[in-house]
Amino acid sequence: MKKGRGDATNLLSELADGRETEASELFTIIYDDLRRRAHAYMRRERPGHTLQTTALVNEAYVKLIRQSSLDWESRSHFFRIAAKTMEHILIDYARKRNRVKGPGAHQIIPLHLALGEALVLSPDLSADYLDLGRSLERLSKLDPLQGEIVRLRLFTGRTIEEVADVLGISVESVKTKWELAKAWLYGDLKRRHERST
Amino acid sequence: MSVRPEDWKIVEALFEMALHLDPKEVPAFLAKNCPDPRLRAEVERLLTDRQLAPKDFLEHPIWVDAGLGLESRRPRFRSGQRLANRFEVTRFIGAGGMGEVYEANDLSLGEHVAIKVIREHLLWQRGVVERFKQEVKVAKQVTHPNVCRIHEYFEDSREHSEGTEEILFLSMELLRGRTLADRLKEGGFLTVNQAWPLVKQMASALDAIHAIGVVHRDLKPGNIMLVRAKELGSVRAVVMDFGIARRATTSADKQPMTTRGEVLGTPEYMSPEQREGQLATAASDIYALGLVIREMVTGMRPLESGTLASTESRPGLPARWEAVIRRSLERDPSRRFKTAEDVARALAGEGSALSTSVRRARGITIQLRHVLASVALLALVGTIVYMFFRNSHSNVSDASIAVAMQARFNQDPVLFKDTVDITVESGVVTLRGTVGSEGERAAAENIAKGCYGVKSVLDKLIVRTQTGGGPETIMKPKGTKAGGHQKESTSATNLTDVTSPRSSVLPPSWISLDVMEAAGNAVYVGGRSADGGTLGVYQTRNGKFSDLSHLLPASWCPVRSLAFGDDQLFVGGGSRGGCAALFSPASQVLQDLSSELHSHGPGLYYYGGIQALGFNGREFLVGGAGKVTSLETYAPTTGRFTYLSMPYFAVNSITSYGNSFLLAGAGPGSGPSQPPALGWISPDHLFTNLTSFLPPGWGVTAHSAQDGKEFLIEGRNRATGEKLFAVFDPANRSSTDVTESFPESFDLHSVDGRQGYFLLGGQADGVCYLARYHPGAQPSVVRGLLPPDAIDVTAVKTVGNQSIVAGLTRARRVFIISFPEKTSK
Repeated sequence: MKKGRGDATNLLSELADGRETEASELFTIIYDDLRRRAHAYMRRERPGHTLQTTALVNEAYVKLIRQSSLDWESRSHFFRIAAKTMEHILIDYARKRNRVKGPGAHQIIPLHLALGEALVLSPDLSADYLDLGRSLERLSKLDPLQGEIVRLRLFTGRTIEEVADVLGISVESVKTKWELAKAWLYGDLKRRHERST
Repeated sequence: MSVRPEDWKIVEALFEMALHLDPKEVPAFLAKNCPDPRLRAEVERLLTDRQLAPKDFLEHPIWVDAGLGLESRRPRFRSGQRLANRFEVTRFIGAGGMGEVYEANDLSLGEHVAIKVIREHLLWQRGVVERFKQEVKVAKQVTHPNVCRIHEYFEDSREHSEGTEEILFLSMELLRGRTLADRLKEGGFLTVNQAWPLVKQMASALDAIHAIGVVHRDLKPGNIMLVRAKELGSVRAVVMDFGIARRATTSADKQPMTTRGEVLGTPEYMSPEQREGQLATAASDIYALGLVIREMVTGMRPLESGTLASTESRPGLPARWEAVIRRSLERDPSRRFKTAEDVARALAGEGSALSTSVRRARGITIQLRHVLASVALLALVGTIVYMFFRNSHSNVSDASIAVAMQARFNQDPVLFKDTVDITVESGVVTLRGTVGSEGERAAAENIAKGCYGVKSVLDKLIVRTQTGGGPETIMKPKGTKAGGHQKESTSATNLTDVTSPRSSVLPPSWISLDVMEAAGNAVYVGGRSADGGTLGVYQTRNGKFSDLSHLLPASWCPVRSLAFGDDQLFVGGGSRGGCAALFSPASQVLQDLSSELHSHGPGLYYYGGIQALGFNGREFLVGGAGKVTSLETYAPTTGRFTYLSMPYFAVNSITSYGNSFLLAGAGPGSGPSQPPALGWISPDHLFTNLTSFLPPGWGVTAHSAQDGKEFLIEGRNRATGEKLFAVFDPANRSSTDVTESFPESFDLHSVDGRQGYFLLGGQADGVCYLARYHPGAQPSVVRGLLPPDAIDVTAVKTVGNQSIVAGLTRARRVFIISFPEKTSK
């Protein structure tokens, strides 16, 4: 783990220097870091307690960023990569889960990645991450900025204000785009489900 | 079936406007403003889907556990730990969205205080710390018995193996008691007699906060602490958490849950205007106070929709209380009580408070109208001017109104063949365009009135018609330029009939001269040398050349674009990330602006720096190709860059035209199959996608120029990669492929066309190629003027009656010459 941390620091200082960073490397590091933290928490907490994952993930980001004094530009870059990373983690997770059904399937990723209420389309219809990933891809083609807003909101838990800050656009325009993106994604997911059932 | 990316902006604009309408008005609004049935269906479908989606659809970060989420985070500090070498933590009180609250012993004063530590990740937002300090400074001024005293803010940090943890906290009065929320939950609602002394204190607290110009913006039972007062049986109500940090980091946003039961921004108690994203005012606090009073005496929680609906009054609630609650909850902020004290006085039965509010509200309306009227006069230029007054309560952005209107007008091929220029400023929408006849004028007016249709968005329309072109008409009706055109084309055929070209020798270190920009008789040139970027100025009058390269920062390479405006020269270039600078010929000072680029974050100008620049009389447009759309404006008056958010566009060329810009470049992708992109930026930064007007089969476009009427655009065949040329006529929105007019091997390096024809320079068949081109005719090749060993033309410019041409000789020497365009007839 020591080595992993060192790598993160290097990559982050490269970000700070404005050098190109392979997103996939950072991906691995964020992923490992989240997993390590999740393990640590699981050991510490009494059984039956559930992680407050928002807090957990935020803390992971805090520590990653703390390691190197990232300026605002680099932080903003960092969050965009982190959003992409989380998306990959979730979609990979969903893929693997679809493949390995049965006991132990949930062990693949120790984070508690439950569907939550986020993807409930109606009382008896839920989408999964793969569906969402596909729809998000389509939305990004239509409007890359909206795709980015959704990723930052959903996968890094940024608030509307933080998203506006990361993307350098106004809070008002994030709000409108967010409303529109949600409506579009909802419609797209729902229609796809209706077609497939 | 699905919407095309180029229409998405229109869909978005209509969607945004519709969000702010009464649902009943939406069909009429769309019918009037969106004649395209396909787009209308899309907007309608999105609005329906928005209604159908569960309330919290996608509202939680994706990894939130299903409905569990017990707060297991440990407090950041344990008892006994010291902060800022002064406060010893004695107890963790609780956590909220903004941070954690502890009880601590202030060792220097020897008393117990409360400290609130701001969550570390909130400090990452730009300016948060500064704003937070400012807020504390203001809040400290409130010394009211019913407002929680804010003492001071502190900064501290502690080292970990992983790095430095930043700690920002404030100390405040420690209140021992329970919140009004707890009281209501445990003991049920209050009688009017129990509520009255608390309301009176809360009202007095709110007025004290408002008196220093601060809005609480989050008044709710959870923020009111009930403290047992010294006198037996009486309770002190203390308002907590005002303004602080909330303004700095959050606003009227529906935030996700942070810890169980705690929602940032507390939408329940939000006023309708905050909910719609407008700034909270003192009137918003009055609204919240109304909700709190109602909850105190009826137990009724704020409705989800945020409106009072019918006040299901509690039996036995005095009519006066009911009336006061209703007035506090007026949707229109100007109809609410003016001050919290007015609320208390009305509850006490002093009727005068009501009429005061109404009188004041009227005064504001009159004032507003006055302001709008003066704007209207200023805007009265151009041929036909429509002014729409946006409803003052409407929250639709100016840009959306303009996009929607532009879309509406663009869909009418008969009217406004020339570009309709729509500007929206502070709610006044001004439309300028040229119409050919009285009939067209009447028809245009009808469309304009149709757009205006919906009251909640726009509530006033003024139409002024002037005959004759006004000074700001962007494009004159067809034909007005014909005279000039004829003359120029004659001169084009006589191009070789020139006398005495002037030339100049450039420093031997210059490797290439790639860009030129005219400023009066001076022509600024840029390129690269062995040492980096180059900048110079060439005087057309005497052929004198001065090298200014020493002014450029050492890291600059190369200079790729120049634009002159506002008596200054904007210099763009660089490689990854781009460089920008502003040069003032008057002071001979070059100011490096590179660090101020990227108002949108990293990834801008990633591929090849700043490729293109333009100036529209007011601001510079800065463009390039990046990981995201790389397009910013730079206003010399404010010295600020503003990012233009739009679908992905790699900008290769900017051509200013009137006070607008034509962009040529590429859409997302790479390699030969990368799609072309062509677009228009209006003076108010609206983007119109014109890509569909390019001839079929086109890929990436590179150069463009305008001759006062049309644009010449260079592009590439998407399949074969060979060069293509087209003339784009903005008035008719049509383009003609003119590739056939040029030699097959022609590589265009530079084109300029301000004088009614195009001067093109480049290379063909291994030798330099310089020609004047008049659309519709064959290009006339210029011979005998360039140095005999010239092999390439790298930059051309026309200034007044002079043409300036730079290029390379076989010996790789950079030359620059100018020649007058003397017409023989």
